[in-house]
This record gives sequence, structure tokens and C-alpha cells, in this order.
Amino acid sequence: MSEERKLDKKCPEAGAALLIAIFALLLISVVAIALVVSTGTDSALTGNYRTSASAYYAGIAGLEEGRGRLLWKNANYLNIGNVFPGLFTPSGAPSFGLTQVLYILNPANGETVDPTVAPYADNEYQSEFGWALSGANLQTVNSVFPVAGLPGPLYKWVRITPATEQSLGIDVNWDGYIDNATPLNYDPANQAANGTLQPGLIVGSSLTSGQALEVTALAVLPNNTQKLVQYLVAPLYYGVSIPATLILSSSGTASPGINFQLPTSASTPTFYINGYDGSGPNSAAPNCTPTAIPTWAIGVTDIYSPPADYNVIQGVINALPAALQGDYTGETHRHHHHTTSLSVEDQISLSPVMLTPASLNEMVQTISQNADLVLNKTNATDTDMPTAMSAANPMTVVVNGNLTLTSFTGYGLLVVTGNFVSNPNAGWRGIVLAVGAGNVTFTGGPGGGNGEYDGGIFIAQTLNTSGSPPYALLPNMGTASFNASNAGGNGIFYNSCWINAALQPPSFQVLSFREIPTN
Amino acid sequence: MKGVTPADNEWGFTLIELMVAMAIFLIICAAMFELLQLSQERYASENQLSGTFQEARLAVDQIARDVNDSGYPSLGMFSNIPTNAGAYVSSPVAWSPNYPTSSCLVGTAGGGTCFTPGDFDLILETTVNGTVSWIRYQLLPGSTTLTRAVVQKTSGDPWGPTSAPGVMVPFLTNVMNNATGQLAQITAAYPSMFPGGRPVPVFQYTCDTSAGEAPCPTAGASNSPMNIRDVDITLIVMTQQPDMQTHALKLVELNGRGHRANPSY
Repeated sequence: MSEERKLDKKCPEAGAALLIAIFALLLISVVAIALVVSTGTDSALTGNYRTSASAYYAGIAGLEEGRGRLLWKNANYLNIGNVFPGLFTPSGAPSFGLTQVLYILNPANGETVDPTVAPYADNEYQSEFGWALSGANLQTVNSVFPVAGLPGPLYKWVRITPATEQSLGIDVNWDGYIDNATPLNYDPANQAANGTLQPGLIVGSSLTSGQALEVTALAVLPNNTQKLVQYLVAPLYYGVSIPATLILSSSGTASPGINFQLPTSASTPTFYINGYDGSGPNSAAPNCTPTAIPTWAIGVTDIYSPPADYNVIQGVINALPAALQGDYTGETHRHHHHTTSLSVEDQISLSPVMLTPASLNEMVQTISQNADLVLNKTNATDTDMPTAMSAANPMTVVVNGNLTLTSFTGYGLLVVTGNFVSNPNAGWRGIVLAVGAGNVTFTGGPGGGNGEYDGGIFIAQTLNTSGSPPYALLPNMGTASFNASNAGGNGIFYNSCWINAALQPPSFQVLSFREIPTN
Repeated sequence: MKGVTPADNEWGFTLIELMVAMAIFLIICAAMFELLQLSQERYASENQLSGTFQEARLAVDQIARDVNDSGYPSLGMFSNIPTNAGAYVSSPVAWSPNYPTSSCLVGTAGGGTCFTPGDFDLILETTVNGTVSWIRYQLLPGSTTLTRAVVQKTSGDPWGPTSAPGVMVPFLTNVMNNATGQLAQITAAYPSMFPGGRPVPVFQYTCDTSAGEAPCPTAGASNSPMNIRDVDITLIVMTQQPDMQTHALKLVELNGRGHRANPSY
């Protein structure tokens, strides 16, 4: 007994605590594991949603980099230094050949991204165009990040290609045939087969269109979630065409259809209206050589009743003093409407957008939305013009009101919805659209000054200015007015370089967006 | 006695030791099971809430994606208008009545002239699996089931084809935005979710105007389904079962926004 007592005292309740602790631990472990498992499931579900959304926005970021860098005035323009002369024209218009492909690569640190091989292979290209990427003319450029040293969006590449009916899977001209060999353009002045204005994609190109490009981005997150998204973009053009140096849109409903006055006697310097490209004495444009093709000095439209255009063109001819007819030169072409050898024309190929008050009004609104400056003033003058404007930096200015220029020389695209008055020392390099009141006056002469207009001027009355503002839109074109009876300065000279500079796209518009399923 | 004395390593527990240990163990077990039951109830409730969140989130995401993708391919992708109206999108957001010839005014709370788009009804037009289709979301008055339909686009008004029997299928259940029969009860529990005790629109629209974006009902001349740029989505969803402990209704509210990327021409 003494032996037992001794052992009891040595290990009192030995093992019981351990037993209880193990049971308790077991129980707690079971509960904990159950909670961990359920929490993990919830986290996985939430994570899936999050990564899916992240990949989507990473893809959009890639698309926006591609779209932004297509623009000529972007600091990271893809063709800076004309490194891709085959892909862009000097004026910033895209000119991709059918098989040309440009990739913007965006590898992570230490990573290599090659769209021709896994893991970021571009299998979509072949399914769109019908031939393998190895058969394409492939060029690459690196992505740019806004902040150095920080990781950028998680897209791997952005592909820029021309678009075809086959690549889009759409029969854009509805001719029953899916073309895979002709790049598509977007034409804001396209006319459908029935003659109606139908801005849209066209197979091939036209004078008022710009090339449509597919911008495709692949986003891949670290957990391998992938998204493939695609824009179809095109340079934003307004549908402006300048087929003559000075264009007046006639009412076409009654004689004379336009108000047109020129100097009646010689002055110094001579006031010219000249259709020879680049003929202005001060017309030199940077990095551009005018074409040798002359155009009309003066053009008029007559769209409502074709027989009446005899009256309109005759009004112009009558306004040209016989002794001064040599001051208004350019393309000449005799035809049945008139037999004069003067450089005047009433069958000019004006863009359909410029033929009706409604479409012109829409065009002015689009220009306003993308203008560098919109002046809503009753009477604007030189001091309202942007000082940053220069030959190297042409701008788009819209004046909703009257404008009088005295000694200012502007560059780019000018829209005046009220009356436009130019004095002998004022000038413009580019395009002047006097659309609205349709009233242009060259005054301050006769003679004197050295102001010069190089490019083209278009005049159309689209508003009923008989009342007080805001003026109502006319149902049909009104009577355009050009009064140079007391003009000074050098005059108006056709210039394709300045016209192209004025029509450089202000942005690339998104024509469509879609998500492409990835396998 | 020496013969029956166990060796040093063969001593067991006494009965008292075992009974005390068992008693302590049972007390701990009882406490643990009580805790476990509470945890399970809480977990079940939270799990339901979490599941409801997930379903609502997926629904908002799907609607937002449909809005983002709507409008492909637009009429601006054609140089000649296709003779088949089912080959192109007339408007990213379709409307009724008089689609697509004459537009209507987008309103809210019964305003406007559009039957759709409205507070609880939206028809999108876009390409689904290579076919230009109408995607319709609808929450009928008094109903708690948001339905979705996908039908191939035809010429004319989308209302009929998207309302045909069997076309609309349940998309999300227990949606309380327009549960007029239970509105008083749920407003009492969640007054801030239902301002004024009124139904909460699932869809609200922002239109493009010449001065930027504005709510469509206040967009003046730009108030048209064709000008809808953003669709704000609000889903108020109730869990399948009331809370197991408090027996109260559990509601979650999720908001999202779809932004149309395609042009409307």
C-alpha cells in the first residue's frame, strides 16, 4: 500500500488533462477547418468576379493606348519621326497595307511578349484575316507608361491592322460578297446606292474618307484570366471637300442664286482668286509640296433645279470685269453649261455633306465638338483668336457670331456662322467655312495690305438671318454672299498643303467595340 | 502483495479520475456544441447573404456588359443600308412603341412616352453569337423575378418578339425593386433603400447632349433612347430565407453602371 500511495502522489491525474486537451483541440480544429473552407469558397467567387473585371479594364486600357497613339498630335504618336512611313501619311492619316500589322508590346519586368508564339500568341489574327500571322508584315513598338517605374495596365499587346469585310465578318456594302482583299475606309460623306447620305464604312477609299483600323488588345492577369477586346476606329473627318478656291453655294431656286461682287478696277496689290495649287506669294507650308494640278478659281453649286444653273454661273461670269479676268485663273473647261474659258465652274464635285443646310449644320456641330476654340461672341476680332496658333500648330476655331479680322493670320480650319469680314492685312492658311449667314466681305481697299488666303473658302447660307438670334435652319440653301468690291490684300489662292493641314483628324472616333471570346 | 502490484508503467486511471475527466469533457463539449450551433446559424445566414450578393453582383455585371457591348454592328458600319433589318443595329437601346421609325421620350416613375426603356424594362440591341439580337431585361410590377430574353432581331417593334411565351426566362429571383405587394413591409425594415416608400428603378438613363451627359428625362431635345450613353443599374435583392436568429428580412443593394461604347448611328 505504501508503494501505491507513493505512485499516486508522484503522478496525480496523469494523462487526463492531455486527453481533454486533445479532444478539445480536435473539436476546435473541425470547426475551424469548416470555416476556412467556406470562407475560401466565398473568396474564390469574389476573386473570379474581380479578376474578370480587372482583365476587362486592362484590355480597355490597351485599346485606349492604341487609339490615342494613332493621333498625329499625341506626344507618343506611333509615327513620330516618320518611323513607320508605310503605315501613316505625313499628314497623320493611316495608310496600312492589307497585310501590315503593328503591335504595341507591353511586357512585365523581365518578360518577353511575342504575339507569334505562346503564351501570348495572337490566334485571333488568322481567324479574322484568313492567313497566318507569319504571312503578315509585322512591326512592333513598345508601350508607354504615364509614370516611370510603376507597373502599367496588364495588357500584353495591342494589335493595329486595317479592317476588311472578312475581318469584321460584315458585308458593309451589302453586295452579297465578303471581301477579304480590300481595306475598309470610313466616309462621313458616303452616299448609299439610293443617293441618300449614309455615313459609313466603304470598301476602298474616297476623297472624304479615312482608313478604318482594327485595334485589338489582349489582357492577361497573373492568374491567367484573359480578355480580348476590339475597337474599330477611323480618323475623324468632317466630310469637307474643296474642289475650287472659292465656293459659293447657290440657292438654286431663283436667279441669281448668289450675291457675288469683285473689284471693278485694278488695284495694288492685285486681288487674285487663283486655282493653281500653291500659287500664293506667301503660301509655303512646312514639309509639304503642292501638287501641280490646278483647280477652279471659282465654283458654284446648283443642286435643286439643274437648268437654272445657267443663271448662277452667268452671274459669276458677269461679275468678272473683262480687263481683270486674268486675275481669276486656274482650271478651265468648256462644257455645255457655259462656253467661257474662265476658271469658273458650276459642276464641282462637292461633298454630299456640304449640299444641304441640315447636313452642313450637323457638320458644324461635329467641328464644334472637336474644335480647339469655340467663340460664342456676337462680334469677334483678332484679339479673340488663339495666340498658340502657328504654321506648325494649325488649329480649329469656330466663331458662333460675326468675325472681323484686321491684321491676324490664322492657320487651320475656321468656321464662322455669322458675317465674316476680312481687311487687307488679314489672312488664313487653311480652310474658311462661312456657314450660317453665308456672308463674306473683303474690304478696307481698294488695294493695300498683304494679307493672303491660302487654301480654300466655302460660303453657304444655312440660317434664316432675317429675324434675331437664334436663327432657324433653312429648309433649303439660302443665297451665299461674297463681296470683294472694295478688297485689299493679295487675295485667295488654292493650296492643297494647307487644306490637308486644316483637315488633319482631331481624334480617332470609335466606330464599334466588341469583346472577342477567348478559349 | 508484491505479485499483484503493477509495474511503474502500468498504472491506469482511477474511476474517479475518469468520471471527473468525462464530466469536464462533456461540459466543454456542450459549450462547444452550443457555440457551434450559434456559429452554424450565423454562418447559414451570412452564407445566404453572401450568396445573394454574389448572384446580384453577377447579374449587375452581366447587365453592364450587355450595355457596354450594345450597338454592334451599327448602321455606320455599312455603306449601303442592308435590306435585312436583322443584319444591323438600328439603335443600341431599342424602344417601344414605334421602333425604329419614331423615337419616344425616356421618363421615370411613369413619365415619358416610352413603354421601354423604362425604370424596369430595357431592350438592348447587339450581336450575340454572331446574330444581331434583342436582349431584354424586365421586372414586372409586383414581381420579384427579373427576367431576361434573347431573341433574334427582326424588323419592327421589339416588344412583341421579346414578350412571346417562353422567351423571357428567370434571370434573378427575389428582386424587390418593384415588389409593390411587399413594399410596406420591406420599407419599414429598410427605409433608406426605398425613399418615400416607392419602388426603386432598376434602370436609370443618361443621355448624350450637346453640353455633355445629362439624365435623359431632363435632356430636353436630346431625350431619346438613341442618345442613351450610360445605364445606371440598381438591384435590391432579398435572401431566400429570413435571418435564422432574428427572423428578419435580409436585403442587399448593389449598384452598377453600363457605358455604351458603340455609336448610335
